[in-house]
Amino acid sequence: MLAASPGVLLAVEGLTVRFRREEESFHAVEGLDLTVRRGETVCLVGESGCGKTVTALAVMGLLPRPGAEIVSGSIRFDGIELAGKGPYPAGVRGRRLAMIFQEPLTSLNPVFSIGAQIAEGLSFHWGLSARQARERSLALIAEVGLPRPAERLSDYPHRLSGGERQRVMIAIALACDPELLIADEPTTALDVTVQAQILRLLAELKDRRALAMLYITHDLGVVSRIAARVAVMYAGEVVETGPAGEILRRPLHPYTSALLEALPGRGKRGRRLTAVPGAVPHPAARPRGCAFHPRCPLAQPACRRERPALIPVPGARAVRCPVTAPPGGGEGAGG
Amino acid sequence: MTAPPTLPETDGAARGRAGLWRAFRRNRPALAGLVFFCAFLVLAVIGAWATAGRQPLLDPARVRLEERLRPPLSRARDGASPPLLGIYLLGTDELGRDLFARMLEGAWVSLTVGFIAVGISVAVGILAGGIAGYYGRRPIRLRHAAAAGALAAGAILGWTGHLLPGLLLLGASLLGCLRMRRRRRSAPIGLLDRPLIDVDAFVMRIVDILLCFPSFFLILTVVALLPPSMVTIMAVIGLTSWEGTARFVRAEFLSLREREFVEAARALGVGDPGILFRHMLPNALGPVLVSATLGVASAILTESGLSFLGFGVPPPHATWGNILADGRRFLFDAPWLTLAPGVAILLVVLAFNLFGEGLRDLVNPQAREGR
Amino acid sequence: MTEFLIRSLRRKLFTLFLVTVVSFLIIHLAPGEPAQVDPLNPKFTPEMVERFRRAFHLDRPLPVQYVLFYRDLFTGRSVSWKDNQPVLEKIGERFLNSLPLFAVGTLLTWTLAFPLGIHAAVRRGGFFDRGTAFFAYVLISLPGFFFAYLLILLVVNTLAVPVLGMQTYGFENAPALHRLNDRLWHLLLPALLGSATGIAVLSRYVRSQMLEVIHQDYVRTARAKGLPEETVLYKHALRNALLPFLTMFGLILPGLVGGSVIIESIFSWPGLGRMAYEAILARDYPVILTLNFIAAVLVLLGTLLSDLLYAAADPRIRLA
Repeated sequence: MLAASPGVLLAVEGLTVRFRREEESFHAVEGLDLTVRRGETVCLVGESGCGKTVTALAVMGLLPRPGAEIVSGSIRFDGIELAGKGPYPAGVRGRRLAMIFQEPLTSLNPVFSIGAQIAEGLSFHWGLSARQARERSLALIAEVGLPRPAERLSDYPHRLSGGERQRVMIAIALACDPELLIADEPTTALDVTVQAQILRLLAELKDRRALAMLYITHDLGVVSRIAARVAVMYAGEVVETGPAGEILRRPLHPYTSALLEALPGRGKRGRRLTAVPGAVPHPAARPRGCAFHPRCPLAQPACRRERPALIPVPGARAVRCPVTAPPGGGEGAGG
Repeated sequence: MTAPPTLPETDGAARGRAGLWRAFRRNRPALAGLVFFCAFLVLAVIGAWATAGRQPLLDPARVRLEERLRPPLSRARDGASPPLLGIYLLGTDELGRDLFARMLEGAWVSLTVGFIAVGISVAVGILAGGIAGYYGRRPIRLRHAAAAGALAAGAILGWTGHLLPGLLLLGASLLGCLRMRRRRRSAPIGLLDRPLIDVDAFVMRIVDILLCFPSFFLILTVVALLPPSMVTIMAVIGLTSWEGTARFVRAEFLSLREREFVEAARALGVGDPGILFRHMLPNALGPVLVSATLGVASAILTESGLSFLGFGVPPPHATWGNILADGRRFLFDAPWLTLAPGVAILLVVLAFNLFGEGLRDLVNPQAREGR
Repeated sequence: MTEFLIRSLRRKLFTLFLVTVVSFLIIHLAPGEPAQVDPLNPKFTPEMVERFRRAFHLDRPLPVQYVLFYRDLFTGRSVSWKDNQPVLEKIGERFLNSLPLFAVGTLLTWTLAFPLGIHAAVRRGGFFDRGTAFFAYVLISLPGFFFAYLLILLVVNTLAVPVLGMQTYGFENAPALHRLNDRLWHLLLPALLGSATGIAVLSRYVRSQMLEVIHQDYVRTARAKGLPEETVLYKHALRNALLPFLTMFGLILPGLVGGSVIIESIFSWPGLGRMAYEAILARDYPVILTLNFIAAVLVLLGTLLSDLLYAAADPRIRLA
């Protein structure tokens, strides 16, 4: 339904990704729907192990092979099917669609210079000459805020700090002017002060370049600073989605509420922070019914039996919880 | 790296022994290696039992000149001392000895050579690597060197017949060592406290020296110079192949030393030996086991190479190596003399190699993911 | 850089010195005597034995013997006890024989092992991977000389090509082309055998190295750039996978002396390895010690070479 509406850049529908490891096999992501419009920043939020990264890798066509495969669903990027049976379509990845990763320390190739690694995509996708590629790399390094760009160009990754390397990763990702940037917890591995800097840089870049961004994080605190919309994931499913401000102010799903409770913040000074009890279930041992019911304070007998559907809620929101969904908003539980 | 790390519960470490065994069982070649190795072990034990004693069931040393170079499965002609069931299962050699009996005896001998050589190599390697990795930066001071020198000189003097001065020197240096332990801080002269080289550098220097000798050349030289015996061969193979284990244990200890659980043990007042043997060694043991398994394979091969050059385990012991080496003179007339031991060595060494590689995959889960 | 060289050379020279001491001690403290100076040898009268002992300085104390021996070695005066030939000349001649065998063997090893290993890693789990794995394990597990005999049986029986020695006896006056052909045949089999185990081991190592690198984050980054798979594998992964092999490259040098004892014995190839074997049999101390010295020098040079290569290839390594 959303894929048809104008301005949609990325439309993921019913995505199911299966992992096969040795003898076990499970769905790391199941029936996931997600849209990102042009120039819009969407946050994908959830604890580790809930399938955020797998979703991102599926979009990029970088799922580990052998081991993981897309079983069903579609991923459309500006109308191009990315989850088809054949090879990943050319001219999308690295050119119109780029990604930065969680581990800046290991994501750069240690034996090539920074300049070479930025220029590589430019000469491949845009056919730039060595000289042109070098000039653009220089501009990119300056744009991501690294001091002394000319020196950095011939430096090797091991000479850079974690924050600097993440900036280089951003430069690499933005080299060919992508329309969508997927940022997979880009600040998790960094120091707190550096985290703030990188986050500010990304916010600046998306405004300046009118970049659409899918920002993956486990930290709801980041959401308010960068995102227009949020999708909260739990155990391979989206459990709540809607405008960022609304969800932060008035969470519907018990899981979202619990995540917010666990967040230190204004107005909570002096109060004890509550952790979400329990842990995300392993996808191979997903509970029957609502996946969250073992940890849910509002769980009811029905939650154990029936897997709830995503229920639309007024205000462009949706929630996968028949207990907390406001009455009249949708067709009710079941389905 | 990408998605799997979000599923830490499936990692080998958390699954415990049962999980490890399940993962190992999935590695078909390694499992085949293990099964074959167990079969071989049983065979070797049976062989040792059947070929030993005054009146063995199968006599590997019985010479029957009228039955020379009989092909496999041939029936014994009427005569004294027929083999078991009257059939030469694998034929006979140039002296009419039953090849099957010799192979059985050789199985036990080859196995012994492999295991003892590797045992020596692993023991020395763990000791040297452990000392280097654990004591690492501690300096060897002039007084340590002097004490060691005096000890050695005393031992040599005593050994070469100067018993009295040797014993005196030995006693004096031992006393000196004891004094050193007791009064660490107050060595009389600063000169004796001069650090020479740290422990780690010292051990690694020894490894460097050992690496300067091409190993087969060194083994050959020493084996050729010493009187031929099985003990010599096992000792020489063992003493020339420990540097890999030593390096490995050292590296492992260097990293373990900094880990929290070792720090915690130290903070609790656990002594050096306790930390070394209870806390650090078990963690380094897996890879050592892998290299030991592969080492047995290579020791069996080395023994056969030495036999080929005439420096193997001397008669009357039969080993697969010397059966093979002797059989080559009859390559065209009696190929079974070459094929039987050759194939046997191939299979056993292959089993050890496959099993060792399987173990390696278990110990190092990263490599497993690549499979 | 120069500082590193100087320090490294100093260290290696000291190690070399210790090696000479150790090898000298091993030889001289071992029980038994060379035939010429063995008082039990009936071929020699006590006077002759005495003369030999004097000529080889065996009547002097061990430290003096040590100094005299290495003085003779460096001044080129040391002679073989077996035939009184100058040791260095003998070795030089044998070295020239060993060189083609070594060169062809090394070339075969390195040119075959890498493509095999890389291909197996890229197609891991496939037919090619399983097949090469099987052959590699068999090759690693075969006693070298057993394999050699099987091959000789095969070649001599089916191709009727004589392969023992460096050339066929009586071919010295054959036409040049014929002679070359003969020499090549004689070279190929021992070289192939000598490298068989090396190919097997190295290709497995290349494969595992490549597999490890393929799973690194920076390879994923390269894929995320949208580069073609060939670029990802053969540029980003391979460059990193190859690094450890530079250190191994330096370590093949010593194979020149010790690596070929068995192969050269089987094929009656008059090279260094067989010379070492014969010297050990005859307890020809000067030849053994000189060969050992050369081997040690090659090992130390090899490690230096690999250090330098590594530093040149890996930007993270700084020689200091």
